[in-house]
Amino acid sequence: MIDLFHVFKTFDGVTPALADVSMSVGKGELVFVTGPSGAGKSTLLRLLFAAERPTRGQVVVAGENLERMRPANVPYLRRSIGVVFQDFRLLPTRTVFENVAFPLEVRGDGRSEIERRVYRSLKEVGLVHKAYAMPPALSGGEQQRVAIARALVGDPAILLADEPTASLDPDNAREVVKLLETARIRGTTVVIATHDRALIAAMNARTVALAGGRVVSA
Amino acid sequence: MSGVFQSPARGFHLVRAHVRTALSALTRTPVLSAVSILTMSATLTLLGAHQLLSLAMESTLADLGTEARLALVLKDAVTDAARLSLAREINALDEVARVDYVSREAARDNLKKTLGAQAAVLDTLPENPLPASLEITLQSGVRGVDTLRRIASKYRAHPAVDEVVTAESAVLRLEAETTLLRISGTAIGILLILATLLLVANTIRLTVYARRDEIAIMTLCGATDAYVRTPFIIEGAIHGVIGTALATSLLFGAHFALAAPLADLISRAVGLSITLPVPSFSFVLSLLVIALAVGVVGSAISVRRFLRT
Repeated sequence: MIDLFHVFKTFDGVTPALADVSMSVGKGELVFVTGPSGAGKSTLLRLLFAAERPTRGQVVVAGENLERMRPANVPYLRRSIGVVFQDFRLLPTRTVFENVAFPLEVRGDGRSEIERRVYRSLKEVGLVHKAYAMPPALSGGEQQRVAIARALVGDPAILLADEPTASLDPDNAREVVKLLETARIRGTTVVIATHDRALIAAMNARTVALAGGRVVSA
Repeated sequence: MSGVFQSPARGFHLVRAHVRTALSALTRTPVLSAVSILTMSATLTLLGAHQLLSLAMESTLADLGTEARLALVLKDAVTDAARLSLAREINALDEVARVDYVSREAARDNLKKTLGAQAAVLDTLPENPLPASLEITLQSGVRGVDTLRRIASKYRAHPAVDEVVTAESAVLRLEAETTLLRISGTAIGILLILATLLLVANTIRLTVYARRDEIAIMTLCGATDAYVRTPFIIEGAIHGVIGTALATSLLFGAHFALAAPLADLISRAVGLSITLPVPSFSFVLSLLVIALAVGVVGSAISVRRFLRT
């Protein structure tokens, strides 16, 4: 589902954010990308949802070589990828329901289809009762569960999570771990960038370690 | 890629969602929307007032053009029958609105009126030196120097005509002034439209900026550039419609409140009688077209710049 071949990325032309990274993630697999701050974890994830282009090398996601992808097609690729961030990135002026409905509205789903999917997704993260709450009124753990519901509402083939538990207490982190694991069991390919050892220990999954932009163990 | 790509177009739901987003933006960023609408209506009012004044000036100048009409000075020996037949012939021309016969006595009376206190000088003359003439008034649409020249050359050699008098230079000057007025009017109009475009583009840019997080999340969720852009363009069009409605109300209000006193003022100041026209349907429609174009183009420019950054 995801293949990287000798990928290099530099932002200033000198310092490599990623250097000669090659890795592969199969369909339905869950993989951790670990490493200290500045190791290149977030850059790697940004390459996968085409927010960045590699300086050199090939990135293939869902059978599509992103190097050759026309910019106009990037949005359609993103509809098959759910992304979760450390800072949740919810819209504070929209209700939980509206936040989760966003990816479905973007792709033009009808009202009833949106309702059905949003409630299903909120049920999975245990937040149906908060559907009409505003995000600032929720706890950090709840906000991250809303973000996960939004990422999964369109049944994406791939789920990318960038430090999803970094701003959560252990209980909420465990909840999030469970949700990510559930997504994998359903067949979603999951890539989690984290330096949270507890999170890695909680799940029996392959780990790719980065340091200074290079893969140090896989 | 097949299998992972979602169907890209579900037109109806998308259009409804865009309109809903555009309308909700009016209430979500009310201050910015109000600034954009007021900017648009203020400049449209200025533009409209300027155009209406230009129209009034142009029509006044065109009326002045008829003052410099054409006169055929008749030979003394012309019989009444020949004069009548000539007058009828000229009256039948398409360009001519009317033909007035000014007899020698009438010409003398006119001159007396013009001379006023000095009129007595005419009584010292042994006989009336003024000839009879036919004064020709042209149709309002053809008051150009070319028509004057054409009619003059046609009748200069007529057996009943002694001389043709035209106020060609006066007409030429009026034409030049009208052209200048039209060019300056167009230039000011274009400048006003450009200024509005820049102001509206910048105001909408602020509303785009205020919603940058939303746009970032939209693109993350797979929104196309067109999807991001469309609500802003609809919003720009809505601003255009409301701006035109406000500007039209202001212009109508100003017309009923100010047209008469203004005309009176101009009449007393420069001695011109001027009629300020009521904004017509086509005038309002052209304001609307300009406002829609400004709103739509302004929004498109702002979002384009934002999407690029």
